[in-house]
Amino acid sequence: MSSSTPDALWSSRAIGVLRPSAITCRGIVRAIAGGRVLDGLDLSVAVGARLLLVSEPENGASLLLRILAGLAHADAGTLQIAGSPSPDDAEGGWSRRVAYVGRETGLHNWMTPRVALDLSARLAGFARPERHRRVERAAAGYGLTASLDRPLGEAGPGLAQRVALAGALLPNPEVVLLDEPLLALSPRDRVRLLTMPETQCTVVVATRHPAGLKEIVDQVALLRSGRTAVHAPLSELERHGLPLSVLGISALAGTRWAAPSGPAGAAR
Amino acid sequence: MTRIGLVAHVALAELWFSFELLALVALLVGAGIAATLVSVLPAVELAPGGVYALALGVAISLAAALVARSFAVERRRGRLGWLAARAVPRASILAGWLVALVVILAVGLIPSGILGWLTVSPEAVGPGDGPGFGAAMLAAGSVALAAFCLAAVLGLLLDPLPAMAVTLASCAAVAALGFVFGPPPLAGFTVLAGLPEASFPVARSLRGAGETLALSSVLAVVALAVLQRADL
Repeated sequence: MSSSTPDALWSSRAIGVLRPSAITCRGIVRAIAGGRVLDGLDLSVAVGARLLLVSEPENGASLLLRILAGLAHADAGTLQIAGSPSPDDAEGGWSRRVAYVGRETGLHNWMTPRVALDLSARLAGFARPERHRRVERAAAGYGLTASLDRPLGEAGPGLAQRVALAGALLPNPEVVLLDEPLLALSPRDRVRLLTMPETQCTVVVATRHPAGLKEIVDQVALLRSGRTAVHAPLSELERHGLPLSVLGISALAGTRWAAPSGPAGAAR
Repeated sequence: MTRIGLVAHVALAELWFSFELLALVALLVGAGIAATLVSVLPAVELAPGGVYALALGVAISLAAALVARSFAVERRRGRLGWLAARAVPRASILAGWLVALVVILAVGLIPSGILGWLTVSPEAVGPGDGPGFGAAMLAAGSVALAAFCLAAVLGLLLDPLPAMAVTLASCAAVAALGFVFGPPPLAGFTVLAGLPEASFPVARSLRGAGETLALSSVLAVVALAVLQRADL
């Protein structure tokens, strides 16, 4: 069973037993410049999980997220995300189910938050009244109302990052992939904006700066040498007295949680 | 609006706000202005059509370099990725950009052609010279499209500055080969340079335009293959 879970199932008790996977990676391989950044990676993330992903070397987690988002290709392996093995072109399909926010916002400096949000809604296939409603709601939710018609180039990078996040979350996606999000904002704003109100939403955050994200994740994973070195509930870090940092998660890899398959289900 | 239309709209807006649209149009129109000004100088021995063909070739090469830079910048800044992450097919992204570039080509080449005709027309006496000039402009436009497709390939592969340099070098190499061997795809420029004495200008230009459009489609397919494999 995978994601794209019907609402009726969400309201049933079965969801707690079945623990469907929102993300499943099997044997993902990707080499860059002759070196394998991902080397047979297996990872399974349950629906509704909030996973913090760090990697050694640093670019592994970022690359995995870009592969999951369909922005980079894997040399080998299979993956499934939100019930689909790859992005589908249908309006209202993939674009509504999976959201990705990268280090680069991808927004043009001439765009205003209103234009960027409206374009996101258009590409997600929403009709005009629904677009308008969602843009207004996103603007209110992300504190963009006052600067809705201000070109992004005239503001700092913080505004562009907030708009990128708001635009990605505008269709209420099932899976949210965040690669070093909102670095230009203060830690407090960062945590506030990254707190997803949707309990059904699966979130994967790849970052080199995990401290401060304690309130928004419930699992941690470390990719080492292109494989999953550890995948454990956040509570295991606390149980071992380890800090929420790359070093702390790396130290956790020396414990019994070092099983490559990880506790995707148990972690919730 | 279709996704290709949305991408074309965004591409045109980006080129407009970054002043690159203005630069592209100015280059093409500038070729016409330069030909008009230079051809009246008594020291210039080149025929007016030759001056215009040379100026237009240089302008198209510079414009292609700018296009290569645009593609490289769009890829590096994650803007192509932003579209791809919203399930816009990569083919639609490329098609949208090419539509935007064709619009700019039309906007730039029409006034440029009018100025070029004003330069050439005092020596044009035959009834077939007008259609010949129009067909030669069409062929030159198709060469520009092929150059833009090549620029897309290089822009998707390289960083901005190398992409510009390699595009310029490629255009210069093609021009040199055309000068030496006279390949048919560059027939439009040969006809422009030879007006009004050029023989069979319409037939030669249309043939050249057809061959260059075929080359453009091959380069567009290559650009799509590169884009499909690219990390955005």
